[in-house]
Amino acid sequence: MNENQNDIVLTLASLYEILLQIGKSFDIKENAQSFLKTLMLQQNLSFAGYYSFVNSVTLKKVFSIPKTKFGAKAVNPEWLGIFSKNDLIILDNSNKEYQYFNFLFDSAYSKLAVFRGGDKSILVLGIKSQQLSFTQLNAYTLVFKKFCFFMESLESHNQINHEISIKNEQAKTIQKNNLQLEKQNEELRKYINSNNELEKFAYRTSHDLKAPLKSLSSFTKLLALNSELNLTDIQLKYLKIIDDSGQQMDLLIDGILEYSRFNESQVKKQKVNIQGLLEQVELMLFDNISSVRAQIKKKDLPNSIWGDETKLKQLFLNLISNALKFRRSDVLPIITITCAESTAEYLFSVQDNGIGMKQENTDKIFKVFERLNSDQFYEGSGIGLSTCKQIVIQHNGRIWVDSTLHKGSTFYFTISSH
Amino acid sequence: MIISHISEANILGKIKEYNKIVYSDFIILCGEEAYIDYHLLIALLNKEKIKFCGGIFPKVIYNNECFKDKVLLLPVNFEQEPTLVSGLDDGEIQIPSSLKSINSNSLFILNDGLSNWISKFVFRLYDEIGSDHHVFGSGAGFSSFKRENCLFTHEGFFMDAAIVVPIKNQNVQSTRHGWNPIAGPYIATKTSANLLQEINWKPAYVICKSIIEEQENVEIGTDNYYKYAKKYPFGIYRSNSEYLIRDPVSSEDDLSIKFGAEIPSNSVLYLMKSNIQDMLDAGKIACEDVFAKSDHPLFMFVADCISRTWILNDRFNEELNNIYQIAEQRNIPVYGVFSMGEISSSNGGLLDYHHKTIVASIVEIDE
Repeated sequence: MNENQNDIVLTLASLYEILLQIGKSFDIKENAQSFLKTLMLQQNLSFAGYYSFVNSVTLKKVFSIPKTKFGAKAVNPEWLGIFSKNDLIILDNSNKEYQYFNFLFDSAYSKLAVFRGGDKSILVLGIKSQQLSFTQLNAYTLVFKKFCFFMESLESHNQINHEISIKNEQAKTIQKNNLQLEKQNEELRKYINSNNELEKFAYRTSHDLKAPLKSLSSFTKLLALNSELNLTDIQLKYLKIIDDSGQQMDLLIDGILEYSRFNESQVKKQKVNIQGLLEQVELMLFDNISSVRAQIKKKDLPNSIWGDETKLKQLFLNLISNALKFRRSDVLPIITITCAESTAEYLFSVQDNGIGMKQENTDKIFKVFERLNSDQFYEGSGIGLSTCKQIVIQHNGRIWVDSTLHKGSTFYFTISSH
Repeated sequence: MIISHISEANILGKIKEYNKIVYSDFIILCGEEAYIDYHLLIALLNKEKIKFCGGIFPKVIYNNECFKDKVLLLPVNFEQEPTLVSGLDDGEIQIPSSLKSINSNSLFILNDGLSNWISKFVFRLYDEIGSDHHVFGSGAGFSSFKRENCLFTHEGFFMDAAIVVPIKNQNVQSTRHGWNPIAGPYIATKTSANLLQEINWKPAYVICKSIIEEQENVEIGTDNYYKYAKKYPFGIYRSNSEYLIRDPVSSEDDLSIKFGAEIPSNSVLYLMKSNIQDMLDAGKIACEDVFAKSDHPLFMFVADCISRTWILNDRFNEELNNIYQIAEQRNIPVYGVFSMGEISSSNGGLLDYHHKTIVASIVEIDE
């Protein structure tokens, strides 16, 4: 081969080496690295960088060797004009156009070769040494075009993939949230079912317990009354304890039954005359009220509200009974029932001047079987206020108490007006 | 400074003596027959809080002589502690963050010259530190090619690694080899790291063998392949620059050729040859060239490839004399090593890893 032939073969071999780097990977950075690294090694370059346009005047670096710090940067729009004649331009640092590209890297290069790859990207090559030159880059124009075209295709493909992956991600999140919601619903349903089952179980159990308890009570009484047995005082005392305990248990079972019944039964809303309802409650409690000389005051009560009459009656019955039960011995009981009306609900209050309670106990009292006072002084099942809470909840309301120890309590509850 | 009477305590003593005159950090270059307990030396230097790094080489060069049983102390000022880079055995090279933001633009590198991924390391380093640095360095190791620890820092004694030291002293370099193409261009159509399997889609060994046989007028077999092949390295084509020389090490059973460093896939290759005079001239030109670039030389450092010394053989003294004469005119000492590969940024472009090449560097006075 003569020298010319040798040069041609060398150029072809060099082009072949570079050309093979395009499309080695479908990863943008891997593809850029492979191409730029080979180009740098072969052409003894100090810098190689591929940039793409974010818009017509803003560039962002996709990949460079060596690494440079470069975010998206706006360029001088004039600089595009320098490509008017050729896609490949060679600049040294004495050219005024050099400054258009100098801002792309952290270092200064003595010469730059800039190739415009269509409308979307540029390829910038740099040489550090004044002695070096870009001798055969013109031969690479087609290879650069192919590289830029491939990179632009990868970028747009990745952009589409990115958008699809964002949508997929969103769909996955929605699906995940739905699954979580379904799971929570299922748990709630199980909880409601188990609660219902528990209430049914409590009702049946309480009901079944009543019969043997009745037998126990009856036979204890019979035993005490049977004179033939000549029971001693202490034996009779024991029988009384058994009978009292039986009665306490009977109360508890009644409470459970009542609580279960109220939970199990549906709310049947109707127009309820509150004045009339309270009169009925007072009648039911007549013995209690009169024996302790209690005074019941009623203020600002509505004529009627929407609710379940039976349940509301039970609600007032329980609250007034409690007020009578937990009275103070040194004052006559005064119970004041009032109501304030808003657009959405009625706010009732039942105020007494009884023994009251400590503020820290005001939450406990609405729990089942929670009792603050000893059985010795105040009989009861500890279910009454739990039943009240259930009734209020069934009427879409809230119940709470405001109380001062030794001064009295005010029970507040709301009933939805709809 | 050269140390002839080798003991760990004597090396420490010489360092302390030097530091009484002017405080310095040290690059310690040891001949492979200096027989030092390196763990002890490291412990002694650490105890005295001396900053250092070093390597073991087939021989060290001092002025116009070379020694396999002596130690050189190169006084320089470190910009920061020497940094160890590992992963040169498996290619999993991570450049430590301490090297990504260095203040000095002057770097010295020592690497295990028999590691598999030296070119990759050099390129990765360039990618991270950028093009503003002047870098010189050398591959360490033993003339028997035995794989042993050959690098040391305050952290220990290592192999399959590189030590990078940013130094305050500026440096300039010049690189020459004197090899010329005799056949090519070829395309490295099948390679695998250090293995050149095919050129122009034919077994690499078959093509090389036929050219060498023609040149040497002998029959080449696996038994005598290296004897002749060492005079016929490959040159990777570089536009605007010298060919990057790659030294063949052995032929393999699958008719591929193993090299001392990676051959890039599809790279353009030439088979190279040299003669003694061209090689000697190359050494001389490199030294003259580097002095032309230097303003305030402190000392000259020469990384002369061990395979060059094997080829120059009896005439290697001429190379040493040539170098020394040039340095003597400027009244500065010559330090150097028989290197297992050379690193330089002297071609004005990328950081390169060379074979069968001489890299002459001038380390400037730290002002």
